[in-house]
Amino acid sequence: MIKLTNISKYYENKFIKTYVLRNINLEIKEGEFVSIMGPSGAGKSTLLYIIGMLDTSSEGEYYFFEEPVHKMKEKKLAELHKSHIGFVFQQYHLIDELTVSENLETPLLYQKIKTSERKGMVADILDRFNMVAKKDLFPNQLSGGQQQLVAIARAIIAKPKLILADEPTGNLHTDQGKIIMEMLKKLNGDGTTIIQVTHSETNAGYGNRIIKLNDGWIEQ
Amino acid sequence: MIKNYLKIALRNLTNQKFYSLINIVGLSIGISACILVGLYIKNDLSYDRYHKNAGQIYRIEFSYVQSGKIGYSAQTPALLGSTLKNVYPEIKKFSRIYFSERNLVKAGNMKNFEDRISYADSTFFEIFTYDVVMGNKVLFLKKANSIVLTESTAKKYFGNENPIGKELEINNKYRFEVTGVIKNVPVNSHFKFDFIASYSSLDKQTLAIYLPQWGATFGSYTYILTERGFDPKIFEKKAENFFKTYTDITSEDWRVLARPLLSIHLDSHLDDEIEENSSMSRIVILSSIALFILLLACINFINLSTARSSKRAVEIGIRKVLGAFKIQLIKQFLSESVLLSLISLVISLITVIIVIPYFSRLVGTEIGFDLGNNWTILLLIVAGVLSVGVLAGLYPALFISSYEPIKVIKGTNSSNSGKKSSSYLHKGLVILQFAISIILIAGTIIVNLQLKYLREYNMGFDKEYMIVLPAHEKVGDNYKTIKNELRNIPGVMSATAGRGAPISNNNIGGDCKPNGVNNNDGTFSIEINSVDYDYMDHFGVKIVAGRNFSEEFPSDFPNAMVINEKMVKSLGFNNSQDAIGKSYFLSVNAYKPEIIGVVKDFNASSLHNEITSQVFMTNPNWFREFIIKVNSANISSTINSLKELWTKFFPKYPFEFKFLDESIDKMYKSEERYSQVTSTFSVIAIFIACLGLLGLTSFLTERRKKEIGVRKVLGASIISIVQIVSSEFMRLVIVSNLIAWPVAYYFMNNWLEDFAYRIEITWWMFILSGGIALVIALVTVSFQAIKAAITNPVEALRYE
Repeated sequence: MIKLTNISKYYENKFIKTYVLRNINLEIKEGEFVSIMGPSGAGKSTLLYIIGMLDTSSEGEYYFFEEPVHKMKEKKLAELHKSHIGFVFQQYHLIDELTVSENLETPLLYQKIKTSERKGMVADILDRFNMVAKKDLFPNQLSGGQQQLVAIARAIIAKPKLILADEPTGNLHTDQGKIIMEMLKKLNGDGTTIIQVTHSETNAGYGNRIIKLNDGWIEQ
Repeated sequence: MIKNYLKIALRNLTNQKFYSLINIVGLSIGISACILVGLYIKNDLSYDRYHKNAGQIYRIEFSYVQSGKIGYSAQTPALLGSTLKNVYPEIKKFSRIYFSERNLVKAGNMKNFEDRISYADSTFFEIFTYDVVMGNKVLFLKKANSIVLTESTAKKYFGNENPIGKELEINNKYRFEVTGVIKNVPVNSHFKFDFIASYSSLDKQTLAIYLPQWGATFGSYTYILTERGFDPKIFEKKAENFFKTYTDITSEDWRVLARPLLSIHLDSHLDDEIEENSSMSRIVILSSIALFILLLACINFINLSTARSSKRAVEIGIRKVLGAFKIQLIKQFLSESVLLSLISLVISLITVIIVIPYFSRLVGTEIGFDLGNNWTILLLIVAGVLSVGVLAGLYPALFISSYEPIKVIKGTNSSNSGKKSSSYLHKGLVILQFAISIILIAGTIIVNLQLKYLREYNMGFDKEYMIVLPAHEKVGDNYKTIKNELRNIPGVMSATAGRGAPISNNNIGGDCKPNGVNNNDGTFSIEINSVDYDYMDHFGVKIVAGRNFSEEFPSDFPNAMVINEKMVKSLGFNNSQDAIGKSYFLSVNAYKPEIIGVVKDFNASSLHNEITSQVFMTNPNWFREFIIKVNSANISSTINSLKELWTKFFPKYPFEFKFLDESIDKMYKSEERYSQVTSTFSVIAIFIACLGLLGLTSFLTERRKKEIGVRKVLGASIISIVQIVSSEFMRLVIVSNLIAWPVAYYFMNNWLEDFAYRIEITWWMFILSGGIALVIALVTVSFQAIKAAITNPVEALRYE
């Protein structure tokens, strides 16, 4: 599904190259649950965003379902990422001005899905996440864990093949974090590929593969 | 999708009430100003277009050369129309119109002075289009002494009775039969009238002597209806020798000119226009002021939305992650600005309806706003407002939608991710806003100073507590009786008589012909006033050489004249004394009076004009006004006594009087209006600019809350914090001054060129306008700065 060959990322600043990622070679198959771990500044998030097509690598090749992402134009990239990838962030990043169900609806809007179908999909997911009662609340009326649940629901509503989660439990209490991780585990069980960045060994334990990054290198 | 955009737009508006209010208030004012000015311009452009033949109607004017200068006259000799028509077949019809003011009109018990009486040929109603209410249009103005009234005049004099066939008396002498009633003359006409009588009625009036004279213009205008395809340029060329060939004018320099009816209101500024016309420059000034105000409001919108964009950065990032294309985000932000402008539009429309009567008064023209009948206008306004929304929203939309999601999503502190370039834009736009405001303030100051200068200018004669009373009939030697009785009224300090008080415009125009009555060499124009023996004393005008008129010399009329210093120069003397004893021909009755005295120059007309050569003679038969100096105490009882006296001497006329100083002020009505318009608009402009500044500082201080908190904890005083926050904006306002001053200087200097007597623009006027802007800006900014400075720093620093 994902194949990275010799991926490097650096920032150039007055003739000095600062490397964030060096020579990453990585293959991830469909159905895997991968955890990227490592100390702060190791390049975990950068790697995640490159995989998620929100960032581009400076060198190297990236194939997504055998298609060369590193050669794609921006528009094609956007198409690809919005139909195949869902994101979950540490800060939840819900849109404050929208209610729960409107937040859930937003990605569908951008995929030009018909109104009736949209309503159905939102109703489904609310049901699945047990949030029907909260559908008209605004994000600031929810607890952190509830917000993160909405964020996950939003990430999977368009049925992406891949979910990228950047420290999804970083801002949550242990109990709430556990619920979120169970949810991700369940999604993985249903066939969705998941890549998460985490500091927690416990959370990494939910996955079936750990990639350790240090100073931009993958530790073998 | 649109529904979704609107929903979030509306939520943003209501969540951010303060900023929304600033934007909506600013935009509403800007749009209202534009609509009002637009209506004014539409009205100006619509002048005279309601005539069916408007495109084929021309006004005949002529040019002549006098003292080496070309002069133009809109008034034409009475013979001109018919002679032209006989010579040039492309003229289908002609009509003369004579306008007469101050006429006493009487019908039944109604008695009024009327200013809008006109006389025209019967072809008038074939050339011009007016809706007939009563009577047979074909017969209008055919008979001598027949008159057509407008609807409201008919109502005024005859109530609900049928006025047709009824009689009306003008000036106690001339009787007219009402033959028709037409709808009121539309306000967008360059000439307006309430009465229109047949031109042939003039044959019996005193001015009939002018009718057969080619050399006389007396308030009569000539309009022609031409064949299709008539070209005024070709016609003027063809008629080059008209005066020489067909008239008794011997001068080679007289030329016939044809001015299209539709260009009169916008273009024509001859000395003898029927009414003060508008001008392209006035339209340009008004519309640029209105557009500037709208621009100021748009700048507020741009500044506030880009400044606050960092608040929305996360939303944009997420939307991009969720699959939004840039264009979709641009549309979303545009829908916000468009929604805002539509809300403002609704408020503006209401505002316009409320303020339109005041605005009409301000600009001095009746302006209507009837949306029901004007779908095109409404459509135009809506389209205009939509484009304002798009224009104001475009930059913020492009700016905000270009955030890269990765940058805003990664960082927890999103408020610093705004782009650097935006702060230059803010600064530039704030500078522009204040430059515009300062230009308007400077304009207001200079216009008002010039007005004050005009009002306080020493015109060279006494004008305080002078009451001017008209002599309705020829008084002749009877004037002495009237004068004596006037003097007997307690409260009257002195009384004199003359053709006119210094600015009354009653002077007889003519030429002085130093080289003989039939020799035009050295001819120059003069104005002749006829004055009582004590006229000069009464007005405090000094005799600088020779003597004044005196009863001891009964032959003073017509053998003697007193002239002013300007005329001494026109005659080529350096010293007033040298002119004494010389005699010169005047064009009036070929008099050749001797100069017996010279008076000090005084201004006998508006200060737009230089002092002209003046001749004073003393002939009671020419007297038209009595001028009385009254005691400032008990003026009202003095006026009552005057009224009694006047009713005794002129029983057929209603009593009326004028204060001389008020009449002088009236000469500057159009300047007064100009000053009111610029003052009003500059107040609005600076208000909008300050609204923007208020929004911007409140946002920026909020963003610097933490910095301010830290500084306070470290011991900064409130004053030093206010300084930190305000100094940046103050610098911007100072820069605006540098831009505004030269621009203001250029425009105001141009405006002042119109006056023969004017103030000079000096540096302190600019310092003052800059200072005003600076103080207002400082107050606005400090308001926020102080608020930030007195906040307890703990609140700002507490961990969120």
